[in-house]
Amino acid sequence: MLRDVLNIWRKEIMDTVRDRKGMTQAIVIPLIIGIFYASFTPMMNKAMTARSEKPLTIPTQGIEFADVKLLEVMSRYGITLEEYEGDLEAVIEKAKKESGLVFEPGFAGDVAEERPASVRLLTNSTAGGIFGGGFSDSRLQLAVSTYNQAVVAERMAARDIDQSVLVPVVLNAENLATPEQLGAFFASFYLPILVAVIVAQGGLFVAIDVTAGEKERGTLESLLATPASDGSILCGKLGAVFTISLIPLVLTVTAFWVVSNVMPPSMAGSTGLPGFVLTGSLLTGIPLALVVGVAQMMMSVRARTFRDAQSGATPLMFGVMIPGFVAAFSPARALWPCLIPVYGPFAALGRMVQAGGLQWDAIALSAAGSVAAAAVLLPVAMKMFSRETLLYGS
Amino acid sequence: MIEVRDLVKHYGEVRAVDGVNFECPDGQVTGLLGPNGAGKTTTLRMICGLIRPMRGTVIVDGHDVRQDPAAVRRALGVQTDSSGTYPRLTPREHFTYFGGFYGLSGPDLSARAQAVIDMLGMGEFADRKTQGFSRGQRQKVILGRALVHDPRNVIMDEPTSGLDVMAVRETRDVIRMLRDRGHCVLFTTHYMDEAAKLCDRVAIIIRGRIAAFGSPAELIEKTGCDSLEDAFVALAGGAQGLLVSEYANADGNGNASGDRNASGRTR
Repeated sequence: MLRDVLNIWRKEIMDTVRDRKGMTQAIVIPLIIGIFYASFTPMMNKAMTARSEKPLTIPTQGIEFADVKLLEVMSRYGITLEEYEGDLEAVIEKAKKESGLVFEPGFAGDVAEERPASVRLLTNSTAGGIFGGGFSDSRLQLAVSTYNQAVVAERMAARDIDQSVLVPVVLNAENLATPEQLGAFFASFYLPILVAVIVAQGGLFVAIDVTAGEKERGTLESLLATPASDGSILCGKLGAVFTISLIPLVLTVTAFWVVSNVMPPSMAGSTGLPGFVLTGSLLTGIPLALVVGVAQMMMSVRARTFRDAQSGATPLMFGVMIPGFVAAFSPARALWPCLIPVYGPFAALGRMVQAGGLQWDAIALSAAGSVAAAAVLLPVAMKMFSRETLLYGS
Repeated sequence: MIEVRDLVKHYGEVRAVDGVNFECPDGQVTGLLGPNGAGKTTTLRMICGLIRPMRGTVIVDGHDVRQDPAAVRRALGVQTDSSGTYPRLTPREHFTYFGGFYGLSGPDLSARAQAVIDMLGMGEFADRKTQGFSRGQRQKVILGRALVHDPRNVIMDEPTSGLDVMAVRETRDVIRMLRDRGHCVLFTTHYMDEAAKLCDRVAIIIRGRIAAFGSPAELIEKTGCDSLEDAFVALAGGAQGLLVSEYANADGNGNASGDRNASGRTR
């Protein structure tokens, strides 16, 4: 039996590897996905930093009424006020400008006489994309807040009052997360989703090709007419599906890890993405790929044609991806959920990221859950593969 | 030698095969003739153990398909009616792949693959991927993988269907060569002239039953007709009988519908 299994496995691997289109999809797309996920957060951080440090010119009306000190503070924050003639509200509403200020004639007088001085901040949070109006608004508010503190300090000093009376509580926050935990933090969201997507798609094409595809090509009956048992044929094909599905999984997780460590850390004080994240993803993802492979084979065996199998694949993909998304948004705190098939590997991954290191108990439980599920599904797949209707598929 | 004993297979109300008996001795070509949907393919599938009979059995070189289907399949070389090949594999790779299931390996397997390539005249395209092969070339690949382990018994389901004249002649030559070497050959065909030329014995199957069995000459004599084709029509109950048989229990592919009461194959 083992000889037949190996014969089929070898042929299916050779056949798949020669399929340039399929192999390109199996290698290039996972690499792109891994690189994209890994670089997304650092690139966002970089863009936000660049935007917050970029000189900002604000169209303003009534600059002559503004307090000189306010203009100085704004200048320190890289903000330059520029007189604007025309309908400022209209241009901001049309998103041609992100923000604008309007000083009323009594502004300087109100400040001098210690009355609340009012300045209108006009903003369109949709202008300039996600780093546009909202960012200008925040920088202006920060500058005004600094100016307020400076003015209040001057006024209290003039009245000989200690400024500390305005600060009854000082909150000294300390982040106790280790550098490893900080480094793995952003992966706690992305990795379960990434592994779910890749495992759900990894061996799917091969599973369909070696079953429904073989029916459609008219080669299955010849194979079934050989002395190889149904069990050998199914196991050989499943072995090929599992083997091929590991290629995108390993590539994606490795690309994610490498790029994460090449890019600047997404959190201050972090170590970059620790190596245990790579190891943990593979140790939980590989058994998951096995059970998903069996499910894909069951779905494909039932299909009459390649297209029929493709349409049946969508629910199966969601069946893998949804637990991954659930784990990403709501990480499990207890150990037992790691045993739940399909969800368990993502739960285990989340626990490892939170703990900042490999969690062998979680890995063992998730692997046990996956292998048990595969062991339950395999006889069902076997029964489906042994039905006479398989011959009438095409 | 293949002995078919009282084979029965029903799909619900449809009696696809209903008590079929015949023998295919070594060194002879036996033809299984019948209209579409008469039960030819179902009978062949039961002989190979692809379908489990409801009653009866098949003995191939002393092995009972119900008791030891793997031994039966080892003793058989099967060319199915579908002309499917693996498009990314070469003919030589097809032969080594299929030969591997029959205990062949290493130099023996390579030698057998080469022998089949030589026998079928495939030298020019033996190492080209089968993607884009003509129907005749694909048919040779299918025939070659059925013969790679040099089986004593060869089953062919409509081996000349859809082939051009040259390919038909080559296939018929292979069938004659197998007979001359002492193999047992069982094949189905729609072409009466082909059956008359090739077959030592003919089994005519109509509506799942063997309507007549004997040499072409015996059948012609028995019916008093001038040709095997006329004899076939007469035995089938006339042209009307053929029409009834053709459309009574077929799904358009020579298969009775197997979706109902489907059971496991004889594995």
